[in-house]
Amino acid sequence: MSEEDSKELANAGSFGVHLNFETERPMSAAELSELIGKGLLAIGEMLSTKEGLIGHVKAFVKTSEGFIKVNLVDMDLGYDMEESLDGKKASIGTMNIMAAVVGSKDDEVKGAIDQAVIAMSESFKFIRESKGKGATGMISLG
Amino acid sequence: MIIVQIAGFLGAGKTTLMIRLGSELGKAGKKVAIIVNEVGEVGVDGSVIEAFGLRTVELTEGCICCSLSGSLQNTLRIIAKEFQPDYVLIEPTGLALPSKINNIIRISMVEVERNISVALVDAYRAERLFKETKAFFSRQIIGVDVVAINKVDLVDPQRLQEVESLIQELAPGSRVVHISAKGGAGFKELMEALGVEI
Repeated sequence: MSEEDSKELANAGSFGVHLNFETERPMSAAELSELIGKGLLAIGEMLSTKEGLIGHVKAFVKTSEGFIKVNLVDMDLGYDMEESLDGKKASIGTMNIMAAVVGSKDDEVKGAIDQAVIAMSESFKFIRESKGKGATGMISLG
Repeated sequence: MIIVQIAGFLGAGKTTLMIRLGSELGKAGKKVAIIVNEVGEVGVDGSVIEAFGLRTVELTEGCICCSLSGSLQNTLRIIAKEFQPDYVLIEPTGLALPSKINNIIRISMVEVERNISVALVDAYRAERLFKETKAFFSRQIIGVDVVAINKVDLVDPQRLQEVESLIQELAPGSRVVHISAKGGAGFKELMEALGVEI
């Protein structure tokens, strides 16, 4: 490396994706976060190191009813969730999923997120805007 | 203008502490600007912080300690000139080196009353982090004003002591406080250690 790059020093990879989604029926924060949490756990499973480190896998959902934030930093602890839907249900919104992971390359992180998004598309109808390295354009899923 | 950098590894709790600090400073009548950096093009932290009613400038697709150092300098200059905040809070990526950011701030040609940095260490994952990324981990805590061991509610006192010993081994003489950014425990002590009046 010509100039010290902290991402290379940490031997980490990252990728993020912005998605527009719609669900078949309005869902509560608990239902939405469970579906998203499963997706994050799948990403973590694919990318965790031999010591079980995964860095940070996270998602932020924005709807007109409020937000849902889902976080995964450790496979044993599982994901945690914070939301502001206040009992309301949501069916349309945007979702950002981002992962920065130790011991993985950017394209490996992208591959794991792509797989998780495909699995999640059983529950979400996604229109994806991929902005991360190595991916462009709009992909319709589900 | 006082700059507070909240650094620390991926998932250490930086955004949670940022929201708590930004909210408390706002309640105290301070004018606060927040700069959030994420390593990818698509970020999450800026949206999360804004969802809590705090305005942010999000710098993405690189790290402000290296590839985006120029963007950080420009952003600091614009904020200082156009917004004139009492505090600028900086949340770098979890892969950033706080000492490099301090150097960038030093040469940014903005008038800084104080430049304070805190490194968050996740008590629950510190030992594994140490095993896998010792050299990098140490560079994230050396030279900061305070090392805050976060998520103290997830570990027992013995493990907490072990994490503190680990920190002292890597960065001898570090000032260490114990906090739960989520629950609020130790927040007052951290502010005192940083010399931030709320």
